[in-house]
Amino acid sequence: MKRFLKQFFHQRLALLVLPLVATLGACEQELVGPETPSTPEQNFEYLWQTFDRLYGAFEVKRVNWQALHDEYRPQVTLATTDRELVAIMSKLLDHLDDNHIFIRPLQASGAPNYNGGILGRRSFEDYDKAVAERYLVTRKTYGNDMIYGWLTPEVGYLNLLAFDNDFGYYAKAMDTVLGELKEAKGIVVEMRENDGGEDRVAQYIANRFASARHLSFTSRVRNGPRHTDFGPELRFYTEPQGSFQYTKPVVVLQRRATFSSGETFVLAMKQNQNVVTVGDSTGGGFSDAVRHELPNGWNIRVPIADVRAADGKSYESIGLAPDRLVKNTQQALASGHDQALETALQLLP
Amino acid sequence: MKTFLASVAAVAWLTPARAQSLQPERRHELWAGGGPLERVMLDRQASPLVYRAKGSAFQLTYTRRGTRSRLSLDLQPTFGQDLAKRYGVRRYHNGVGTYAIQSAYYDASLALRYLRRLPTANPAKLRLFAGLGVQNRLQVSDAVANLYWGLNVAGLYAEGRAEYQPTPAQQLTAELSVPGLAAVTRHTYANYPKSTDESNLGAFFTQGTQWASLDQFQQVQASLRYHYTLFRRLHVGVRYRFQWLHYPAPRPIRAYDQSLLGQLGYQF
Repeated sequence: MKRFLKQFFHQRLALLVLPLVATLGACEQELVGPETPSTPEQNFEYLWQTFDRLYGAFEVKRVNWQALHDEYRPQVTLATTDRELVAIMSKLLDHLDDNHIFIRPLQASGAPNYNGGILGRRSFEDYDKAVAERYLVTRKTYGNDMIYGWLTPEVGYLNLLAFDNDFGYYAKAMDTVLGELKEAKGIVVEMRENDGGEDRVAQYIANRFASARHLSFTSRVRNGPRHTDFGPELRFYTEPQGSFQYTKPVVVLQRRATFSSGETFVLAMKQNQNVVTVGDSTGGGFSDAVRHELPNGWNIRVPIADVRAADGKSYESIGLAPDRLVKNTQQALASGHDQALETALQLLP
Repeated sequence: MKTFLASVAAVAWLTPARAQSLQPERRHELWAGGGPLERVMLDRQASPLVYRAKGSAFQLTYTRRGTRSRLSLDLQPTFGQDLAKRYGVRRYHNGVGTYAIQSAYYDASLALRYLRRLPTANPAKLRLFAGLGVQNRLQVSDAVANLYWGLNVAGLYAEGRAEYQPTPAQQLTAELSVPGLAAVTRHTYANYPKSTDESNLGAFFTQGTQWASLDQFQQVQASLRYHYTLFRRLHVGVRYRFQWLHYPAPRPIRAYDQSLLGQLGYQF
């Protein structure tokens, strides 16, 4: 046994391997390269450069990104605190006016979060889920993102909470839900809680209400360093899909909190002749957005696409106006009335 | 001690004789092993931070030893955690509560190698081999910058192998692999492979794969293995493997990993 151990831990092997492992730790910088230092100035520059490389709506919003760099960069010094840095970055990013943009500082820094766009600037209290659900005479759920049932014996209700599940989930989900509602003379599709997910999912669900093929929206993703560098245009179509489609009257309820692929869903549904939209304008944030991080470990989100409606126009930072503008007041909600939902019921048979 | 002696006796009963003065060339070997793996990377496409993955690697290798050749099939999965070296597990607040970012790490490689023996002065002690191999390695982390990260390399490699037998019961094996041509799959420029009809995984491969030769994609794989023959068919060993790679597009990635596996081998 002793002879085995001596041979097994052969002196030459140990002398070769152990120093090699130790040396690699010391040579890490040579092997992978230098990590970006975390100073306030480096973090500001990295934020600005990341948006410069990736943001998809500079042209649409007519933003002179270099001029903004020159304006805000001098405000950042080595002495800038984390709170001050978030404030300067927030002022820079406010010029983009984009719901998708956020900064999440490390909790340990004590610095506040930043949320961009109209949804970051103010809160909208024009929807109360509990009030809306009081109109339901039956209520069921499917999975983690659909609530459905009946508002009247003839009008169905479908609340699409998000589009986050795997694409393959939705075929069976919609077969089940629309299967139970297919005798309805009309359906209210609730989108006032939907803050997005995946465009492919949004398009598929809209296609379950389609009877003809129409272009719904296009999307181009940044693929180069110039603000005009985009990949091929992706064209999403509203067209009949799935084992069956519901083509009787539909009212889509929307408001400012409806954004991202919630809005591309509205874009897609507007191509269906049987659909009317009611409520307030949507949020105005259509792009895909990816998360990145700064050298100081802060998490940021960067929208990367230029999304256009079927008319070729961008509604980024504008939103989609409803066919029928109905804004719930706080007084009405407090008294148990959802005016937008009641309007929807009036519009349906 | 009694249990150990009983196990040794059982194995000795299964293998009729101890190792002879010159280790015979058996036809087949099956090796299994496990041990720690560490991967360090700086992928500037994904993050300005150096990420360190630590995991447990497992290995299953089949080798056919011929008088003039070696054919091997090697599978190595690894499971672990991938964290920014500067910060480790990070916590954030989202206005509703707090959440932590810590990434799981998954790694799987499959390699098929065929090598032919080269002439040497003392083949009883030193054998050299050269040949070709095909390999595929997929690495995935689910929260680099709080986003899915992946790297797949599938390639044709030049392979070299040296076997040194200082005593009949011991063998040192050194191996070296360098790619000649590889298909490298990474995130696209914007880190999001958008598609109207493909899944995210499908689009990751169709949009993110580029063919690269040695001037574009540099990679070195080197391993050093020691094994000791316990009985004529049963071996124990240890293997150290080091890999380094560099690829420049869309933005550069440099990474290295090292693993130290304990191994058990059976010849038949």
